[in-house]
Amino acid sequence: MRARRVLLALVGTNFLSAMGITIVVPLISNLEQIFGVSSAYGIWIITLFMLSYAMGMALIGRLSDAIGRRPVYIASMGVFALGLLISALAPHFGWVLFGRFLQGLGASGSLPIAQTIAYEHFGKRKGLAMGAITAAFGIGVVAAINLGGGIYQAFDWRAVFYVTFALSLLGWGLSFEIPETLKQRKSLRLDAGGILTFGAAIAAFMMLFRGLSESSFADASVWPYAAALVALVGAFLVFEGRAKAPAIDLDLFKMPAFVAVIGAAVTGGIGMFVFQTFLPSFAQISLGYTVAQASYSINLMAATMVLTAGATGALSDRFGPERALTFSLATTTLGFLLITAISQPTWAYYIGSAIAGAGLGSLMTPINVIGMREGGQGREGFTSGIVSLSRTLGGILGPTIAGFVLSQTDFSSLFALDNLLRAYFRIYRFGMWVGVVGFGFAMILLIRSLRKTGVQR
Amino acid sequence: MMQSIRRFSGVMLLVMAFVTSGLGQTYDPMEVVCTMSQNLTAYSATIRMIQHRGGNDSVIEFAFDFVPPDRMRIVYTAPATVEGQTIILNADRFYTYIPSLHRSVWKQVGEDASNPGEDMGFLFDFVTGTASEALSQGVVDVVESPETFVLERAGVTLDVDAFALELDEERQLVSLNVLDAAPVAISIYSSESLVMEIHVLEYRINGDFDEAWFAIPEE
Repeated sequence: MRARRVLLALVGTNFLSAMGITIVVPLISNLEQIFGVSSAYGIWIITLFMLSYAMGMALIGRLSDAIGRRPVYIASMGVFALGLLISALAPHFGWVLFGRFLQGLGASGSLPIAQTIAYEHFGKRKGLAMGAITAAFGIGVVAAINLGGGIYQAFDWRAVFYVTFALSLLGWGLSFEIPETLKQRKSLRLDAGGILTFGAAIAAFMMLFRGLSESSFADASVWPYAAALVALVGAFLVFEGRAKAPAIDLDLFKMPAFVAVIGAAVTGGIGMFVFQTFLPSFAQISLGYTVAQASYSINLMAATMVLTAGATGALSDRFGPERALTFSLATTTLGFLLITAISQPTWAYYIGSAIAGAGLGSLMTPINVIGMREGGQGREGFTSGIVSLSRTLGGILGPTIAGFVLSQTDFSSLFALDNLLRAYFRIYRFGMWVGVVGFGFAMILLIRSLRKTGVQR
Repeated sequence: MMQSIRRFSGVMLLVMAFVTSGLGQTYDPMEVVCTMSQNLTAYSATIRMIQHRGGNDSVIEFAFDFVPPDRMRIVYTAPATVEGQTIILNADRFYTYIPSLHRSVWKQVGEDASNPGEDMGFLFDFVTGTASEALSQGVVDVVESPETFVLERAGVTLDVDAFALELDEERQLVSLNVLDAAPVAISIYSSESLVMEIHVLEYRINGDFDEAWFAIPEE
């Protein structure tokens, strides 16, 4: 009974926090009109969120290993709700951005800590529990995209934040149901220098590609970001080498299996975010759908995503996470391939997205299980955070590169839309090749696990 | 008798020489197309373009209005995925609206910037009044071609003349309506491969136009 309540709380909080993350997505295409700001300023609504989301993930694992899963989880949900309230009440756009920064910070705790709690609390059925959490997160993402546009059209942008705030309060209340699963606390040492340089490096990377979308590399508004990126990555590595409790423990990367998990997480993250971010606009261009039709059209992908997220948990428990991960990346790659290879656009869109959805839905559970297992006992929170962070890094890298590809479209041609469609095809082919690389990492893990099983026999 | 025949033949040859030289003066399609181009005050047409690229063909249809020297409006009518897409060029301002993406793009256009109309090859030179400059930049050959062309939308069959315009990087095969020398079909080849076909489905020369067609919405 207790186990069911815990699972319900984890599933409920993740469903609600996922809704909070993506409910603003329908606002993104109209930022200039909604907030009356330039597009360059408006896009910070995404940039700041992703920045604090990634920085939070680097911080949250260590924090939860030191002061406990439960207080960090409750605090994360609280900060997330506070951020939504600040955005809803914002007197001007600057406050909306500040709210988004807090939302990213709060949201960074929900999925990785929930996965860690499930891993520690559910014993042999951990895969099933982790799958259920991922499925709930997926349903929340899609439900919010469907709901967000409707709320905005019926009311205004503030209503979007108010509704999400109300939902997040519910999630915050549910988070008090979650038990403490940390067995041994560690002393808290935060690598502030590492986290700050890491966050600044991500910001520099995003600004570099945003600049490249509009100007050449030699432009004064572009190359300084490249220089800053190199300097910040260098500084980050120095900080991590010297820190007693680094934000990202570089020693973990001496383990080939952990490197392979991180590789799978980054490539899977690229695939996941590229597919989700660009699918609705791809439907608008290739199938001539309206915004509303395009939003609804992603529900097939969402359905396969949710179904496989749940099923992969059981698959991972029974056959091992390596097989589940191999299935995930092979299926994702196939989905990317089919969306460009099938000549009939409607079939290509629905078959490709349904298959890719099945692959993407089954990604999270196995990478978290393998990551936490390979990271070693006693630092599950930290390694879960690193795995989620790697997936998020993929989520920043993929759409940034894809956005750059789209920005190169020649709109001064009579075949501008055709050129745009070709750019989308290039993006999906890029996703396919990234999937092939991810599949390679999964195969390394699978072969390693099969060898181990053979030796044990 | 033989002398009469020789005399008659001589007269006939003189007459034929006179007639053919006279026809040559009145029927020079290059000269007529250049004159038409220079005197053009407005051009409206429905156009189909087929782009051949790597085995994939893209077909678009659009309504095209042009008032020299620099006002242009294009409204896409097919396929459904581009229907309603609009391009307006008014002096140095360029505007495009893509309904499927709710996306508008405004641009200032420099003198050396490319114009989307240039995709139409010699047809665009014709409407911009620069047909003679375009012809002078390449080598022109009169070529054998189908003698008729159907204006699909208008449902009219035209007699046509054709010429090939060899430029540095491409070759254009242009069919002209013999009645007014307006270009009605153009095939553009690059490295011997057909890359673009432009078919005029109906057209009107020097008709009325409305300034509102070329009004660019406020940014």
